[in-house]
Amino acid sequence: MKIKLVIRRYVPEIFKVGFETFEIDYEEGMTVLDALLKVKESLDPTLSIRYSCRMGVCGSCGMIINGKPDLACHTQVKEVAKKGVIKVEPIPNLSLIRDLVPDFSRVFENYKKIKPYLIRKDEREQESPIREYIQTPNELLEYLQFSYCIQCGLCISSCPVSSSDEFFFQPFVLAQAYRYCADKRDEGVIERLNVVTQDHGVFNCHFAGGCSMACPKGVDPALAIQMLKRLILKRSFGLLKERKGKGLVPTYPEGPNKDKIPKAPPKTVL
Amino acid sequence: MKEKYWIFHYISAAFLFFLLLSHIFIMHFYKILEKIGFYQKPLEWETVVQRAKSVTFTSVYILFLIFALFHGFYGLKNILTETIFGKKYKKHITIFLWFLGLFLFFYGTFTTIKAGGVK
Amino acid sequence: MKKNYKGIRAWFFPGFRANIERWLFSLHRLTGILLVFYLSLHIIVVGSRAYGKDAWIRTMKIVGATGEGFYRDLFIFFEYLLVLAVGFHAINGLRLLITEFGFLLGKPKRPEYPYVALSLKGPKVFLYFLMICFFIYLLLGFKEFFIFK
Repeated sequence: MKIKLVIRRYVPEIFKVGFETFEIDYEEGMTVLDALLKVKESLDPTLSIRYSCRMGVCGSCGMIINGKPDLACHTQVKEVAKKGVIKVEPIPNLSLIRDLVPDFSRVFENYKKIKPYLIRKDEREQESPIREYIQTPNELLEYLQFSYCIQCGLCISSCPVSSSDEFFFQPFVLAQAYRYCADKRDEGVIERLNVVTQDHGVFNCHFAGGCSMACPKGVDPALAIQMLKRLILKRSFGLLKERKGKGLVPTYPEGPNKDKIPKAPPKTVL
Repeated sequence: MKEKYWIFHYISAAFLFFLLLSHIFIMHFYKILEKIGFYQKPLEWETVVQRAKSVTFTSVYILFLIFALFHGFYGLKNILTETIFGKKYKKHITIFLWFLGLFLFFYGTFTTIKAGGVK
Repeated sequence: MKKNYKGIRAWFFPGFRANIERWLFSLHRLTGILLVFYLSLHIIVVGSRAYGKDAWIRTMKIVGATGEGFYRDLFIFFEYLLVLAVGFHAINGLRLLITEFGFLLGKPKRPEYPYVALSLKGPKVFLYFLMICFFIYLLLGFKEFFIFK
């Protein structure tokens, strides 16, 4: 069986713009990424794609496949091919570097601005941590869903605000801001809220829900952003207090169950 | 400050939900209200004057103006600044919309207060 | 580098099978813009009552709010559209007011395949309820403007 790949090309060096069709042999279990790599290997070596893990973990190969935003490595050719034709386009609402490679630099600048790491007020603790912090399973569940984000940028492709506003913080960045705000070990909630309430920040989200529909990992960025708005509402009514982060996990000799731990059995070998 | 505007956008929305829907029912659904026994002719001059003379109506009108104009123009500013055009002329847009909004507010207030003394 | 933005077009034409909230967003935006323009005109037109009875009656006749004939019918049609726009904006706004502050959305949980977006699934029942409300409002308006004399 043959399949046709219709790829949107953009190679500035040789002024190649527009759609180009490639025909390749179908193999059982082939993903769209495999098909693209086959094209690159055997038909056109100038085709540029961004990929790394081939198993939906790294979030590099997000693209629009037959009009639907999805990860190329995650999508079976058999599932999406319409009469043997697959149309592949780069993620819109970003600048384009080459073929299927969009430019994420502005997005990751914003990502750095929201400080996507645990903030501790104690400088020594922040710079050279000694041990992990305490946290209960319920506290983990509050942000676990959002920490599954792989930054593939598919949410950007379906957000109506991103489509017209280049400077928008982008859904996943705001979702990550909430992920760290919801973390009980973190002490930088206020700092992060000051960043996301800037222009083109969280106030430009109008809950169209496109991001949650497009997300391939079930992260639900829309939920996180609405929760972030709730935090802002709480703060403006003075209900949000500076949080004291959770303490360190106690070391072995100081633990509460110190006496209950059974003694090691006697040695059996020399 | 942005945060306060944003919160006020929602507060005004909550007020407008009740104010505007009752406004719609009184001014536009009068035939249905007539059927259930609440007879009035909202566009007749006598009714207009009667409403303009009442202190409650005048103050509700002014409140209405504040909420509706703020909600509308804040929303419009939000929409405009989400475009490339809006990013370029953000300051101009903000100043223009503030002026327009304030002008309409003062004109509306002037109308409501002056209409109270008209014969 | 080439810019690859969908632009303002994507507000109203997403270009893929969008979810219902996305369409509601488009309509909310459209009605919002129309209502701001209407509000500005409305304040200016209603301002005529500060100049006495004659000015008021004349203005009402010019815009078609009273009187007879083709302009009156046209006015009624646009009035109905306006009433629908206000109703839609208000009812959808109520949904946004509640959900944007994180109510009805449910608690985040461990994502399990097949993924269901909580933020869209949680308020669905409420959304259907509001749709019914809007439908009743629509019928009420239709009766008011086109059936009752």
